[in-house]
Amino acid sequence: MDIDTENGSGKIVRMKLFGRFDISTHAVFRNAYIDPLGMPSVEALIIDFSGVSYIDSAALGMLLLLRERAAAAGKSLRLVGSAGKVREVFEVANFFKLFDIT
Amino acid sequence: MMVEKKKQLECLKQLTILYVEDDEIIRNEVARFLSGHVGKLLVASDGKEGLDAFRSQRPDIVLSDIHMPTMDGLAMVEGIRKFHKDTPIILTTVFDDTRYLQRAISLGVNGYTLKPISLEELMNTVLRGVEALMQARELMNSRAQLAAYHEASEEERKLVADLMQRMMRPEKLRDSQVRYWLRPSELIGGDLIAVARPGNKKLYVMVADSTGHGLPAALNLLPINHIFYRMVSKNLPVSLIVEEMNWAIRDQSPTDRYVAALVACIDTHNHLVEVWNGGLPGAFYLDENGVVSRVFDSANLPLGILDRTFVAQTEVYQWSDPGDLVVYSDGLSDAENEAGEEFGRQRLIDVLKQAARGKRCDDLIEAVQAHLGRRNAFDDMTLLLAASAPVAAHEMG
Repeated sequence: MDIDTENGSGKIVRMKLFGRFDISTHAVFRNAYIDPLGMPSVEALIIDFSGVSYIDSAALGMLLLLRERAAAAGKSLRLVGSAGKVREVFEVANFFKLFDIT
Repeated sequence: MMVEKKKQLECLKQLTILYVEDDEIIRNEVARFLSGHVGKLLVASDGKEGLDAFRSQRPDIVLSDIHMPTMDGLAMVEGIRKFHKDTPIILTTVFDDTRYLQRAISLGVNGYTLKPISLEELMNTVLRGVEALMQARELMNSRAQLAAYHEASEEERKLVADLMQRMMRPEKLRDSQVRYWLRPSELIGGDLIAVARPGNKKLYVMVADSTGHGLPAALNLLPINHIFYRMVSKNLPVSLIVEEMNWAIRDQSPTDRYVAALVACIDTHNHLVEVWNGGLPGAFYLDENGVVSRVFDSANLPLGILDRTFVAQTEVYQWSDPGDLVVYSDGLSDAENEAGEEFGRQRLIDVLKQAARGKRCDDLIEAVQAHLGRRNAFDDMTLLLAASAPVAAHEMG
């Protein structure tokens, strides 16, 4: 999986994911969000799923971890761009009850 | 002195060196020099003596002249290389011998030093041999460590697989109302089935799918399996059982580990089925006429995510016709054929609809296996059919 990180205004960091988001992407994903979470100027993290072709339960677990860390760092978190199979996985897991998903 | 060189010199003090040279004057001079630096020095005056010494004493490094009577250095190297590919071999050679070098290289000689021999240069060449030897031994060591580690972890996996097998207690899953299929993608699966009928009344079933695969996935299943059997035996309501399981996982595992699960209770006497589904694909009630009369979509977060504030709300359905509650894990619907096409939920429903009542489970298993073909499933596949009432053996086919 590839990740494009965009830090537009400095307050909002947008991470766009590409490809398969699964157990093998643990370190890549973590390394991508750990810096923005530590920056005082950052207020919100947006994860863009429009380039994701597949997501598994381990990846959902990584999102749960990110959610916890973002909350602890006082940053808001939004999941955007999910469609098709990825959105279906979010729905079955009822992640809409937990995350801001648009 | 460089640290590396110092280490190599220390290593050389532990090693046995074979030195082969037919010229007595050179042999004595070099041998005198070497004996001050090596652990043990073997000296031979031609290739044949050298090969005999090699076979009987297995030196760590060989240093040899090329031109010698009886057997020359290259023939000796060939004899050694047949059985020992890694022993460093160094040749001493006069400048004219360079035409032999091609053959020496093809025989896997590690280095050479020119005659007349400069003792300093000879030592540097020998130390390069020591370096090669140290590297080869380190590699062998780490290979052996890796093999030992692999073996130990295989043992552990087998132990856990055995524990899981015992935990699942297949004899407990035997029930005249239940048909199931459980196929882990690895030795240790992350899917679990539990079946219980306390006091021979209501039937309780559970299908659980833990995050990831293998051992870490299986570990989360232990507490919920325990809670299921303990609480069901007390006839406690499904909602209470689910809340207890949720807390056990939330309390005992890391944030990124959770369990998708479905717990159901079938009350044959009152024609009721009660379902809690958190994260599994929509289960459904398929009546005996092949009609899906109720779907139990996942309406909840999986187990282990919410804290004590979690309240389990179940759905209750009263059937009018006998039928089966069909529960499966996403590994089954996601099973891909060789072209990468998923088996899919629709095909799953279609196969079940077309199957004779008693053959539903068997027909679906057959269809999934035919779909997979030679491909291995990448996720655990689990299927469970719980009938609304005990089905007579002859009806089951």
